[in-house]
Amino acid sequence: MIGDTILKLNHISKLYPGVTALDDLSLEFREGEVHAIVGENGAGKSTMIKTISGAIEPTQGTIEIEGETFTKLTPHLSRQKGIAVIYQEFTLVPVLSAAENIFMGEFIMNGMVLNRKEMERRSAELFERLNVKIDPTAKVADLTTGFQQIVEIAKAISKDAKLLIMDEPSAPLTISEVEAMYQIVDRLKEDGVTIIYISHRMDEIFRLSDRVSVIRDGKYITTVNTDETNKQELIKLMVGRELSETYPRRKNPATETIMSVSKLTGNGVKDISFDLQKGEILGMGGLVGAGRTELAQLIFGSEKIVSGEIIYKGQPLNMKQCPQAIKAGISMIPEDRKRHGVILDMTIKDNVTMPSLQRISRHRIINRNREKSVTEEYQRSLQIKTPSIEQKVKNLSGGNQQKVVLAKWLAMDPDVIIFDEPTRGIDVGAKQEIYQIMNDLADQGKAIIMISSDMEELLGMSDRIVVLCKGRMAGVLNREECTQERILTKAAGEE
Amino acid sequence: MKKLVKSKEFGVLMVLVALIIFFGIASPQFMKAQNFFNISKQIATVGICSVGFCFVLITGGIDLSVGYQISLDIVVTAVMMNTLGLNWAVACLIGMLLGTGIGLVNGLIIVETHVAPLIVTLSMMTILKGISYLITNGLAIFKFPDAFVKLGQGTIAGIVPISLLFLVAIIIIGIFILNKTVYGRYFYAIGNNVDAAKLSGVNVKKIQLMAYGLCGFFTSIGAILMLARLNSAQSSTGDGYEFNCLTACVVGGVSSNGGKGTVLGAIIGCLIVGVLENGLAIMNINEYIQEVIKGLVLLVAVIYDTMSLLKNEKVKKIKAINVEN
Amino acid sequence: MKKRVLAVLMSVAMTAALLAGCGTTATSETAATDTETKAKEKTEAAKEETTDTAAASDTYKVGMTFNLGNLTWAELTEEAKTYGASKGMEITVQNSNDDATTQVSQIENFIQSGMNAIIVAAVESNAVEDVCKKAQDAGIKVIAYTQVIENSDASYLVDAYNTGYACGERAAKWINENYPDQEIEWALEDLPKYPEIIDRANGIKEAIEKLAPKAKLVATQPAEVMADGQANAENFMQSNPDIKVICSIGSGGGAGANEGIKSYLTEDQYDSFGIFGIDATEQEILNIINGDPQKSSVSLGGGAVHGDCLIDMAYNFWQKIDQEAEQYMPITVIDSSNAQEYYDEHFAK
Repeated sequence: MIGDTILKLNHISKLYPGVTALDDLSLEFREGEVHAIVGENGAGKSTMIKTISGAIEPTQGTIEIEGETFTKLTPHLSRQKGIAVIYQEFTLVPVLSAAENIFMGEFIMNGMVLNRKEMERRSAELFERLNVKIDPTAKVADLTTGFQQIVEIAKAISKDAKLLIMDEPSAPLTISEVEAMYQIVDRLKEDGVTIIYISHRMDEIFRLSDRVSVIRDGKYITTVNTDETNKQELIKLMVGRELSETYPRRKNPATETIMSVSKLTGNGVKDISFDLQKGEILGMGGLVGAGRTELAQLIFGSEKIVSGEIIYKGQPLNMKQCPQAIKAGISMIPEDRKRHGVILDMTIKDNVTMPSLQRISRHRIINRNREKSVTEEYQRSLQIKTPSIEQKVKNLSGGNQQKVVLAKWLAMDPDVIIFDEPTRGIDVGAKQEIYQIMNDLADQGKAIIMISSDMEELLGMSDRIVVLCKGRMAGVLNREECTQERILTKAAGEE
Repeated sequence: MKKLVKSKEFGVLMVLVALIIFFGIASPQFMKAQNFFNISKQIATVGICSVGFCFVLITGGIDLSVGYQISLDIVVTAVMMNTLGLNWAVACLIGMLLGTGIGLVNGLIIVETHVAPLIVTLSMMTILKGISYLITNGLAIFKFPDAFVKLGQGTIAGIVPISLLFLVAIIIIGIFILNKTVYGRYFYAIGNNVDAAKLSGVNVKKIQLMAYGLCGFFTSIGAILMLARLNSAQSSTGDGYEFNCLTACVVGGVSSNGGKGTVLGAIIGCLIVGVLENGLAIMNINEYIQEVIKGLVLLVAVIYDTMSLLKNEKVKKIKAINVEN
Repeated sequence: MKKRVLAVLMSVAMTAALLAGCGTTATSETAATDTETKAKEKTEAAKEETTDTAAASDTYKVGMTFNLGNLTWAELTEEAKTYGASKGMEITVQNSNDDATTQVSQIENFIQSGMNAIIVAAVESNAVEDVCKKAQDAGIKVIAYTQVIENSDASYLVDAYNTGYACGERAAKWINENYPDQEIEWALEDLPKYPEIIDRANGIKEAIEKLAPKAKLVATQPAEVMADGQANAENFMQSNPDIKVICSIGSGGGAGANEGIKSYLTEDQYDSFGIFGIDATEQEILNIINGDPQKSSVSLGGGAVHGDCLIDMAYNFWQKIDQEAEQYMPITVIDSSNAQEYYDEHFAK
């Protein structure tokens, strides 16, 4: 089943002015295997993919495809050799149908006009091969993210891909969609397609891959057979040092109730009731679309409450807009960091002081010294790695960007912090730091609501878990009674 | 010096310096103090309007009605002074209130209806044009008090134009608002990422309203100076000024997509256009050739600026990567 | 929500106020007619075409398309409206905005609305040829103003070269009086966008060359509006501080230069500098009366006179009175000797 070498990287180096992205990297992929690549952000995974897909030219080294040696590839050549890449950002045109997207660039023509029938027929065949039910005539915009990804995969294999590179394919997917994606990977493997699978999520790697290669700082570290290793070992290889417990423990127990939500309705959720205590982390589980983010928006005041109320510090919280929630001491770290969390083109300092700007100003004139000292304080305490606080946020890694979002809210000294997918797209080392910060905040008596689709994170971090299903409460689970199965059954609305 | 080289305006500043050196060599008349005061008089209005215009651009909007705001501000101020015989200072005050009011109406319609600023201000431009012509019937209004005309034509110590003082004052106020106040910071935040700004507790509507209001206010000051300089009010005055402002701002590195740019950049943009027009005129170059040269220099300025910014960004990014690794 | 409603209300209110404003002017321009009579007129107009008994109709509708950004023309159309009304004609004025496309549409609309005559100050004469042909085919008299239109029934034209020549002649006279036999420098504000204006500039240049041969033209810059004229004057004085004379092809350059030069001279130096314009607007005439650097302007009769003359031409078509197909505007030089008289006649209210 697993056969000869299909692709080989020989001593590949890629130098940018002042930065070595890949450093004498040699790696070998065998036909028909699922080969996982792990490494922290900035380890050189994307540069490696780009080298294989022909998007960039290596400074040194050669690439060997089925015995043929190249000093560089072009995107066209790479595709010709049967290599396809599924990037995190899809390359689909939302207004076109699934079939049209699959054959984009190589439309099947009937003379001067598109042969839609034929494209739809062939698309249906592809979907059948992947064992999914998607209507080839459906507009991509109307499909769920999971189905969109499948269209993307279908597009890749329609060109007879022999080697499929998947860059964090599970990142945009919900739990059930991820399961469907696994099955597709299995199906492709049966068909003899070689898959290079890049992921941060350990459970995926152990579920899918035959072998795992570790990359660190642009260097090849090692390749191991998946069934001969374990999670701790992999993490150790990735970060190059021993990490303590995956989920740090907390010292102080929860104290009094700070917020009571009762029969909250609006923005697509209905009749939500729960209590939130000082010093606890309240997890929020459910499938994507269950209404978790929508509920957070209601609590944060960015969407309107239709009925029900929030009792906050003994008083009904009456807000029309988020500035009022912020003033009351509620903060939200949004799911889509780049769109809602930070302003990429502004500096760290500008971002950190955004909500608290009026506090550090006199007569609306900004006090530059206080601004600097506040930012530097959080830069130190959260360990934001940057040459200067005047650095634009877009130049930071995901983990550091997330710390900037945290810093801007901590500067407001909030009592309630809502984390929406706090570690999405963040590498292992930085994840640990974020967890530690969340625990420290809870220990300081802050109340934390954490929305997460990462089951391990949800179970590991939460004191209690509220599970939502289709916009309604499916239940509250205490730490002792939490298991992955119970959450999933509740989330699926079966309990 | 290092700070200067790294600053965002360095690219366009170099273009300006190059132009001045070129004209200085090409024409002995160019490098005279009097000529620089001439240039300052010639760009005073467009400079002042550009300050407000760049506020609106930075918040991610645009105000195409600036040209006919000038027209209506001028005409109304002239009618107040001339036809109604009000004290000139009172008339100017009314003109400024009117300008601010128009800006606020623009802003209010934009923030409350969410119609694209381009459409709202384009409609407003046509409305203002109509009102302006309704008032004047296309005829000129002139003869104003000497004290008023001095604002546009007078000098201090016989050499420094009063309009230059206004220009400098507005530039300082503009820089102050944009760099030192909460509002300036919010202008940038909204222009860069309105969602993130809103979720950070910024009152987006209020800030946008303010940008348009300030634009109207500054425009009215520019309009009054223009009236004093021309000593004559016509409805056609100000036509096309929105594009002069847009050109100056864009040449000066203010992004038409919002979020980027400085008052200093916009003013350097005005100066580049002003120096170019003045220098070519002093060299007595054929009108058609002037147009070609103007277009070329503007293109070079924008290209040079974009390239140097890109280079700067790249260096910064690499530095950031190095620190993280 | 309340605010949004308020915003909508405000914009509606503004539009309403504006429409009301337009409404009143519209009624003052054309005697209000309801649709019924309009329709009647249309059939009458149609009858006119076939039977050619035009004089019988009791009203005569004239459409005018002018760029109202031009001061003289704005004045012209105002006068045409009142004078036309006094002659029992219905005058409709449209602003061409100096845009040829707009003008073509306006003439099409005039044809559609059954005008009897159309007066066109062509933005671009070739652009309106076809639509003027259509108007003539519909039995409408086309009167061309300032620009020759081939498909027209009558023209009221400027003798551009002689207009410029008159300006230059007056400037040369002033030079010979004030700087006899001296090699002085002079500058020209031109506008090489329009052929007629180029003719004016040539007239100015040739008059000075011939009559004051020692004067030297040292600078030329275009001026369309006052702000241009003013900046030009400043730039002239910068590049050639010895300039004593500025001639301009229009009032924008003339009045603008006057404001620009004043900041270079003390009041007692006004007599040593001469600005010579064309158009004779109120502002220019006042400059001359006040003893400003502006010494003369050339009147082509003035907007009001043209307005009357154009209406007379239309009236002659209506009443079937014979007239010259090409008429020229009177060229009169206005200087300190006749400025007051001219002012009283044209501008005193």
